[in-house]
Amino acid sequence: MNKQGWYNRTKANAAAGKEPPRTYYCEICKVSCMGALTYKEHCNGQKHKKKEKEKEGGDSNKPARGYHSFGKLYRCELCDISCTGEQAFSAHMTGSKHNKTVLLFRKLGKVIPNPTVTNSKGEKEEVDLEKVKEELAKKAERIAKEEADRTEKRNKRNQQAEERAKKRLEEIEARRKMMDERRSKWEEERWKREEEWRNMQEQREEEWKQWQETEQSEITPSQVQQSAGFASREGENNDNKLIMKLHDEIYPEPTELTNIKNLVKVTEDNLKTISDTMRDETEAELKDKGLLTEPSEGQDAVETRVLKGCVRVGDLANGLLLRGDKALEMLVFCTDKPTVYMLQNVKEKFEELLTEAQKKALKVTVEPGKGAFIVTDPKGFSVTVTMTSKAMEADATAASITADVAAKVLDRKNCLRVLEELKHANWFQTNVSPVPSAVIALRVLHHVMRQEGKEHWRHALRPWILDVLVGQILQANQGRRFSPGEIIRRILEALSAGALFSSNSSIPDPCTEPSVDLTASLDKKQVEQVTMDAQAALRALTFNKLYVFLGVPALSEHEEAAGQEEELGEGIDAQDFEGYDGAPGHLYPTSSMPVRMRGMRMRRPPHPGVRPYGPPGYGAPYHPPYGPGHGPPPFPTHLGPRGPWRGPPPHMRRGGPPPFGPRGRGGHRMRGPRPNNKNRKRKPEEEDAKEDVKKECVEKSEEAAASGGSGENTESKTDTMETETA
Amino acid sequence: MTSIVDTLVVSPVPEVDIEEMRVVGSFKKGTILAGHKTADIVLIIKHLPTLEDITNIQNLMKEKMNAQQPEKERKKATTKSHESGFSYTFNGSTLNVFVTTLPNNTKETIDPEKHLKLENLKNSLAAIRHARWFEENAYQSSIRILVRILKDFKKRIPFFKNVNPWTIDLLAHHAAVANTNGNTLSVPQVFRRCLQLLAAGILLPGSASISDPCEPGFVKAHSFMSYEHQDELACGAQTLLRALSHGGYKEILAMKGARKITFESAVMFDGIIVTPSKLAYEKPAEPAEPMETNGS
Repeated sequence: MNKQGWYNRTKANAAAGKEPPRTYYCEICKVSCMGALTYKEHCNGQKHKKKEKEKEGGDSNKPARGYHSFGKLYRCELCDISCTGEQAFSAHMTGSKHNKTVLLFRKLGKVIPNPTVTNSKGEKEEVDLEKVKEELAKKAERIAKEEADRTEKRNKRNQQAEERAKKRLEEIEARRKMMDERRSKWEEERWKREEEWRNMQEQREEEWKQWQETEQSEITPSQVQQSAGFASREGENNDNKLIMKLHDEIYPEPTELTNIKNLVKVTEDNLKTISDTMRDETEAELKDKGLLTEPSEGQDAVETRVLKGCVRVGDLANGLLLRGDKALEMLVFCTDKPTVYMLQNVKEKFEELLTEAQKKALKVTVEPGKGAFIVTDPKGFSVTVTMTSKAMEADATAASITADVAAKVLDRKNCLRVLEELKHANWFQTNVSPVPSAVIALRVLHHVMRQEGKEHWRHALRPWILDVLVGQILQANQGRRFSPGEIIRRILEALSAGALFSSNSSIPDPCTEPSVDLTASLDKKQVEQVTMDAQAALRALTFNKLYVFLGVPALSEHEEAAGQEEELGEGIDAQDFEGYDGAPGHLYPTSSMPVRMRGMRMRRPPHPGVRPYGPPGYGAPYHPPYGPGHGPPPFPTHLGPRGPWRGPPPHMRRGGPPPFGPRGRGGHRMRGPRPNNKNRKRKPEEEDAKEDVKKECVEKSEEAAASGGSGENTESKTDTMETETA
Repeated sequence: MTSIVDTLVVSPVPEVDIEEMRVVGSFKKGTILAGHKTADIVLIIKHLPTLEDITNIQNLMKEKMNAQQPEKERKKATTKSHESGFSYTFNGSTLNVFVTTLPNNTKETIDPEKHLKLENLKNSLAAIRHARWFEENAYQSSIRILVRILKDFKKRIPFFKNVNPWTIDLLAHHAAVANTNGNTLSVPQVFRRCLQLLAAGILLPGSASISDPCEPGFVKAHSFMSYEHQDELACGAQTLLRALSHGGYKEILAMKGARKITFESAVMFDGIIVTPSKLAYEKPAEPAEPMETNGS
């Protein structure tokens, strides 16, 4: 029922043509009733009768009702309502109830008595309605304003808090980034510093040792071995000098190198041309036959290039040629199995390509037995070019063998051998060539092995095994710079420890899969001899007698004392000329052996101290300084200067708070009685809700004041009316 | 023997103020060979010991031991004093007692007349450290077995004559423990590895060697051996290794039914003649200084 409900109804009824119901007013109860029926019922009701009794009982009691100690009593005669407080009274006067009664009275044409205020003394005062209304309105305004202010302030505060939170998050992110950058930078720098430090220490060690040698003639072994933290010996430098001296002697002369280069270049160029021409030929053939189709997507093009490429193998590829070596090896890859005819063909084409001058100089011969053709230099250098193909690797069944023989395919053994050599060469390039001292050491060893009396070395150590040993040594000591003397020592150590005995150890071949044990195929007697030699050589080396093993005269004192000042290996130029299929073709890499031996006459270097210097892992454990002023240590510490590590500080925790319940580390359920949530502290959001409710009330009262009717009062009044009628 | 040991612990006698007593040596480490009836004890005294101290302790011990034993056997015990202590023999078993002092005292000046030699004192202290270290780190049975085998070599094979027992301990431990897996190897593996290490020259000059864990700083295990000894040891090990690789383990270990070989001449194994390696070290022509060797 809305406020103007009964107005509408009367109008509606009037419009509909019904009689307007009369309003009866009961003076005793001060109640208006719609219609005769309701009026009758009211008169018969309890309320009415009660009031009749009271009226008869005593008129004089009324004003005294509720009178006693309240002070002023405000009374509204119309509604027969007395209020104790001015506010309540003014609220009533401006409220909907009173208005209704007033309207009713007007309709009924009765007099409206003014509201009276009864003093404590019983006197009556006038009440200024308007003032009251104004004051009330003002108060409402004030309240509304306050509310508005409060909400404004609250909004502002929330906003600011949000902004601050955002800023804070950004700050944290920026800080994290910065810390990460800093840390990575720091780690890099640290690593660099450590490297430098290590190198410097190594240098210092060398200097110190040399100084010792000059100043002190004979040092007891205990002193020497105590002063250094890692493998070092008085005579180690001498060993290196000896080796380098020998190396200089065995290294090919520059003229030889140029010869070799030229020869190889000629061969390779010619082979490339031949390959091109042969490809053209085959293309033409296929076109004629109509077999040459455009390659569609996903299919490989028909392989028309018969000769795929040529690669250097053997000592030439490894850079292990020595002075006086004249036999070089290369191989040519063919797509199909190479036949004698092909060989002949290639050889003829090769000869055609030679220029006049070259024809006089070079000789090309074919050796079908070896499956190769040989290009010989007038000076005796020869390049043996073997033809092979990957197709030869396939297993040979009886049928294929007969087919091969019919087609006069080249000897299978040769082809396979050369393929193996290619693999070896590749492996060597990746694993050993980058370490120049290893190459130097290998050259020296090759030289030693060729000397008389060392045939068993040659047989047993078949250069490949030696290479693999060196590869293993290098792998086991990655990151460490070796001098050639050290490498030779390591090789001798390995051999002395019985590396070649198949019962002792196995040397897996890195180029075959599954890897073959290289020791299994060695002759035991030879192995025994080699081992014995190696063992003797090792001990001789440690007592400064390497020259016996190397077969050279010992260094004279003059040579021992002199420092080597020239850069070693400058006579070698590293030219990268590649085979045309991209195979790495440098002849000799620059052997830049780290020159650690400086002039001997220098001032005394600082004593390295009893504590060893040297790369970490050789002496006492290395404790880098960390703590305040040095930055965070690069490893996770479990015990820092301030105690055990408890994890990152709260603002740096990335994963969030620790996964414990809100009640701490006890997990999601703590022991104890069940918590009582009745009186728990409310969260701030709930308080806000309360404020919102308050706001709504204020708004409503504003509306009520604006509309001139007390919304709440009318509502309640209609409710009571309804209940009465119902 | 233990009863002898226990008596000394609880004896605060005024003349001889004993700080501590430690059992050391192979008895403690559990690496005694059969027939080796000697135990070693080190007594730590609070002040610098003198010869008088030794005799004091000696007599005291004698009295006490005699008091313990029944009357019949009293006379059998004998004592002998030597430079760093005394030895007490009883019924064929011997107890070597070494007298030393607190490490701090060793830094004080030593009167060569009165006090014991500093070297000996230091050696005894080192012996305590060795025993302790061995107990903590090398208690695995494989290491002990290897130590016994190597000691046996020392007796039988001339190349191994001069090996320091402490070096043997270190070597055995290193062979067993120092590998990439961190597992302790089994006895046959350790044995072979030990020989391999020696043959590859771990105890030769110039090698990184084994660091002595009982010495401060970084001291190599072979710094106490002279050049010749080192050479001998390596040489012998190399020969043995080659023999072993050809299947001659029985001969090496002198098991029953094997030929008795001292490896000083060529022997045939499995069709291959194994010649012993020759020594490589030659003393320099003019010995400039006498070589200092710390006692083994």
